[in-house]
Amino acid sequence: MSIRSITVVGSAGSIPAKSGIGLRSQHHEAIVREQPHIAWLEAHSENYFADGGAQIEHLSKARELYPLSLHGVGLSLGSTDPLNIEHLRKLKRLVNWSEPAFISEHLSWGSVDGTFLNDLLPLPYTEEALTLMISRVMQLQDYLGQQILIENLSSYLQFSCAQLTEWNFLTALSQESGCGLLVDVNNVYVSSRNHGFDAYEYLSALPRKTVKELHLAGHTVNHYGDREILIDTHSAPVCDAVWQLYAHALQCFGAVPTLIEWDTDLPALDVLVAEADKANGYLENAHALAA
Amino acid sequence: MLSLRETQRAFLNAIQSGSTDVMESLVQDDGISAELRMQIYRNNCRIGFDSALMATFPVVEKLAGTEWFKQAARRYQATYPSRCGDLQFVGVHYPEFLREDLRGTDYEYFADVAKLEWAYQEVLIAAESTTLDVSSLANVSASEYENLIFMPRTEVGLVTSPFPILDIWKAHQTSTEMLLSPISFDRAPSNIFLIRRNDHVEMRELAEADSMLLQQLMSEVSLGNAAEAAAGIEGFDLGASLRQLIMLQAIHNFRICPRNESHSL
Repeated sequence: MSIRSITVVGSAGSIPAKSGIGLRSQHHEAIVREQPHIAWLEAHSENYFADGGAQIEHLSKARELYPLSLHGVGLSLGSTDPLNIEHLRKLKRLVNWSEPAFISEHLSWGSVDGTFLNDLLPLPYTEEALTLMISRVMQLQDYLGQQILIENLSSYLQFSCAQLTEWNFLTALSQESGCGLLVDVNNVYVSSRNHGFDAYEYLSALPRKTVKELHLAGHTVNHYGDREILIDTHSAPVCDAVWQLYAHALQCFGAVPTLIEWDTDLPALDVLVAEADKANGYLENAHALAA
Repeated sequence: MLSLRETQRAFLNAIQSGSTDVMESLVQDDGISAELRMQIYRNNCRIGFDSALMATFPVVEKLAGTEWFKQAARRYQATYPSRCGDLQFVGVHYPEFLREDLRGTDYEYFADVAKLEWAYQEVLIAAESTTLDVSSLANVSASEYENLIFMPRTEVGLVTSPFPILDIWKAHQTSTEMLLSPISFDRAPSNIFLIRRNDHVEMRELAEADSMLLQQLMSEVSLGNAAEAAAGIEGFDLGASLRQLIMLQAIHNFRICPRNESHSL
């Protein structure tokens, strides 16, 4: 399979306000073979940067069956280094042939002075960081020719120099750059527990119309003496407290496409589909309330 | 207040060197130390880096053991820090690193096994190319043969080594069909040809002459110069080696080097 030969059969279309799952290589064949009852798929952009080969073929086949969202983890938008041109070029090539309904990246940085830590690192919520992020998001949207969504992180520290709350930072970023927001409900929960803010207040403060997608995932709890820090591991089912927070998110934003994320200790496909079905139950309630 | 760039440099330094002196003054103190908080990020960075390296070099990990592999990953990351946001490329310098790290030990062959595993990854994700249409050669006059430049396909690789690296690689696959008899290190050097067919990578040994010719073609050398380079190999037969490479579907196309150009490009 070569990128040059790909013609996507599925329509670019939009993603319905239903639940989807992350496309992981372990499930490539099962998804195409079993065509589970899920509304859409989300793929990590960098996993499909290849020039050809099996990964590209798998994504192409999956794309024919489901609407697609592309979720980047490596662009390092919040870095003070310039954006990596080669990374941008590969992303645009992928966008051009896979025609995703959404393209998302993170409110994070991962490199400085040309060295990449290949992780999603927190920004200090300062005016300087906001100005940089606005500029980078606009640069990316101009380059790709479409709106991108920015996702909030789970974080394990807060900078003492912060001038804005995370939710005010995201609101200002979306207003100034025109980007949409991808709200990871688990990340809001994890950070709220780690830093002691009110997760419900966070969600209520975000501008309703800018939230285009939600993420749900599992986390783990690490204990340090009598303190605990929650770690966003994507290695477990969504916990009850996050489901409750998700119900609140749907009240705030209405029914929004929702993704079940699971990366570590990936379970069988039917486990992911069951989590997605559970999210659909919440989404149907939100639809009913809106009717 | 530090600038954003200075803050990011302090963060990077805390991850790489373990020194959190600057970060102590940047992180809100709420009863959990900056050191402990940075340790979470340090662990996450290591897990991501190590997982990517293990996914690319599974045979090296099996040969060396997971503990050694992780320790070596720290030295590798310090020597060759990642230069791109795509984790799939963190292993680009790993064979080179192992060559230096293991020089003079009994484990020098790990570097060549890593070279084979990296070539495998490159072939796996290379662009697709067509196979040479042999009939198109019929229009080339005999006087032009030495000026022919054959272009190998993009999804082809070649790895040479004094060690039996393909036997080692096969012995460490889980598939029962790959199980082999004991591996001999007293054998001829390895010339491993890799090609992707139907999205799977095939590997096989090439004769030294065929390997030398392919190596020359990969350097965009004209047939005349390739023949000169391989002439020292006992029993080298240009026609036979070229036929073998064509039969293996290693060639994509050809062009004729203009006479006023050097044969060696």
